[in-house]
Amino acid sequence: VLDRCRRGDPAAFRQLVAAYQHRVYALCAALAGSDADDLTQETFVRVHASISRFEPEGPASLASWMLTIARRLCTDRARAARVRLEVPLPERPLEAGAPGPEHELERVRLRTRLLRAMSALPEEQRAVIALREWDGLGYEEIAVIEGVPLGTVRSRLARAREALRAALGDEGQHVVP
Amino acid sequence: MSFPDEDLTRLLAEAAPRAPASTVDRVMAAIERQRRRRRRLLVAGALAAAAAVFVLVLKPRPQSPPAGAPVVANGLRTVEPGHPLTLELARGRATIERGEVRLADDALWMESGAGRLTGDGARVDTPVARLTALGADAEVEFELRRTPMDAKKTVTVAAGAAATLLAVHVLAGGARIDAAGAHTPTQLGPGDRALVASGAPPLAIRTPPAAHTPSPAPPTAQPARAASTSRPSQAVASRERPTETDESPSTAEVRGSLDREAIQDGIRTLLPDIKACYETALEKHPDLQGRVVVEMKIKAKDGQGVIDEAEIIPQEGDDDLNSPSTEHCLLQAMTNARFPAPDGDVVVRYPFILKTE
Repeated sequence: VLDRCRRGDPAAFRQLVAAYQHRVYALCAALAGSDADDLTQETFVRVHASISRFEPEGPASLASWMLTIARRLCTDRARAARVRLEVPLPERPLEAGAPGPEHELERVRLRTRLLRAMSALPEEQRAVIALREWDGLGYEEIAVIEGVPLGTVRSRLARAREALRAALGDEGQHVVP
Repeated sequence: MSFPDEDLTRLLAEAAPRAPASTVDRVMAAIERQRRRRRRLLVAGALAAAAAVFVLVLKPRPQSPPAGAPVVANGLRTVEPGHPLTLELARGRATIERGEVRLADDALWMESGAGRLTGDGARVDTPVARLTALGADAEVEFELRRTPMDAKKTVTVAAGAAATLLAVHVLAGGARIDAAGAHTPTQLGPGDRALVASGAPPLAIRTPPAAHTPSPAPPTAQPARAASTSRPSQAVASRERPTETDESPSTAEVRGSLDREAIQDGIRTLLPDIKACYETALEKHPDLQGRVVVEMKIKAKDGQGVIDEAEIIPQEGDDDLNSPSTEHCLLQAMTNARFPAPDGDVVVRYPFILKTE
């Protein structure tokens, strides 16, 4: 697919967007809230414009390369934004197959608390949490994207997780199976 | 007791935001739009180069420049603010308040500035359109504004040559605008305003017919259904203040058959452009804020819904944005909207609240 994208095949690029849209969106949602739609779109437009220059044999994976573009766009937007909407991170709808309505309701409530707590984290902590937990990147890749040493990634991640756990309190003792 | 670490990992995975279902289509549409814009800019660049050759090399110098102002270059005369110049034309007359003007064979040419046409048939030619006053009592104000050619505006205005805007306000009588980008002339009545950019049809801003009376819907192919309401724009409006009146300013009116969510989705894709319009306006007027209501007619074309007509509906009260350049930019952005193909024409009245944090 990547080769076809590099040759300008629109159907292949469509496949690429479909494959990576949720990972890019998750990072943008963590960093830019309601602007995530717009920034996800802009990320893929830039990916499309420069994919012929991406080196598959280079140090960065395709996912890491795209997330670097998304991360920079989010940073630029945050700097330039004069008109901005602050909304909580989007909550996913209820999914089929849940153990039961009451249990699922509790999970939704818990997720809402989690996302609210995440919205309150500093930007750099939100970024590492999103890149690690939602995009599945390794510490080394996160360090490259964030432009910080490996140790800083680890400490930011630890601080972020600690803040989230503190915000959730002892909820997990009763709800998480 | 704090939340277990392994449960946090599981909860985070469950809470991962998911991109909306329309993301792939929106991305592909944006890429296609960008490709079209690049093509247009290339054409505009070639046209601009050709025009420059014509102006510098081929165009003959004017025969009879108007008296009363010094010649500055190429037959153009500069009218300084505070020293208006009145010119008798073949029909009617023109009063130039300021700007650069040339009179050749009774035809008045202006490249920038402001003035007024008086009397039936009084006419001025500009880089973007020909403006003619209609009616013995006609009084038409006009202003030509040159806008800086930064990248954002180049994209917004769509064509590189569109660096000049013509703003028109009919004080009495009527007016006709013959724009290069329109197939038919645009007629204006008393109180109407219009904005014209190069290569684009005029955007008319009509005077409401009477206080508290809804503007009549543009002609529709099928009878419009009962008006309904939906939530307004979420992005341009930072946060809309609640209203105490029954006629909520925060609602969008829809007449015709098109799902309201589909309309919302179509408008949503424009929000970045509309934000850009507002941010550009804020650079000059940091305190600018207010409400803009756009009435648009959506019709089916090539299997999708496109905005066929759009106009600003003037609002009574202090919250009207009252910024013609921003409204023009907003209407320009509207032309990019895409909806599902409606069953017949659909008229939508959509409010935007432009406000800084």
